Amino acid sequence: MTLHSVLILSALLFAVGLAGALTRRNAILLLASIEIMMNAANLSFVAFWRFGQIDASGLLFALFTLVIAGAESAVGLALVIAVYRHLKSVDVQRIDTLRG
Amino acid sequence: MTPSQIGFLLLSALTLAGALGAVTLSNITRALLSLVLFFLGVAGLFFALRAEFIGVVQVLVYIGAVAVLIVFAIALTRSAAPGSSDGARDDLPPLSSFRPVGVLGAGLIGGGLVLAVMRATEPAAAGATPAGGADVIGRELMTRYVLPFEIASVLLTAALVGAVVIAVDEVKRR
Repeated sequence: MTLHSVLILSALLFAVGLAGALTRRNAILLLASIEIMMNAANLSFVAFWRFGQIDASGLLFALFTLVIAGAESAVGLALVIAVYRHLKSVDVQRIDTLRG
Repeated sequence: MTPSQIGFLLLSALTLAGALGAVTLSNITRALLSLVLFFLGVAGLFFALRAEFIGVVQVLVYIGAVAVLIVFAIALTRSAAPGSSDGARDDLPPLSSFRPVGVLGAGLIGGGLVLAVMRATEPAAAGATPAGGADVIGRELMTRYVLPFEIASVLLTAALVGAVVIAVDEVKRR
């Protein structure tokens, strides 16, 4: 395991999450793809700490990112539920009231 | 190939498979389970990187809280009709012409990131594990990072109360 291999894995996971965030039509799975991206970034933070590039700040950054991601997914999913209550759908293509 | 290298390759393959499944599977329940597999893979990678505390917190927060939140969100947003387009299946056909553009864009960004990693100089192989156990994290949280810690607590409280306020069903006045 080298720093390169972990960072390349993190880059690939980020790209997969980004592809999901750009193509998913269900709003809940869109939020799940964003969580994938955040986990990939956390992985690279921990990798930089492990290979001696930064001190324990890397671990703490990953910890705070975890906390913020949890809060953000709670609010995001609450918004999806509220939208569903009005539109009876979680299709992102149907959320276009502000369009045009 | 040493056993640790094989272990790392297996872990990364598992994590990548979980992420790909969460992004491509059309059955939303299977996509969610694939996402949980991805979270488990990332936790395993944290353990392999000797960040055990973060690995355990990852399991607790992501699998124990975020994935359960997603389960409840899926349960609360089920369409009544089983054959409807936004019930258990994520929508196919894809978003008109957007799906190949999205995949291409993500591939370009991923390729750019991999290129940036390759061009950086390779540091020395993993030495001794740097100090970062639970005691170091606790000490840092109480001394150097006490302000972000307190702000994160306030933010969490505000976010969760706000989420309840947004998601609660308005009581109809009679």
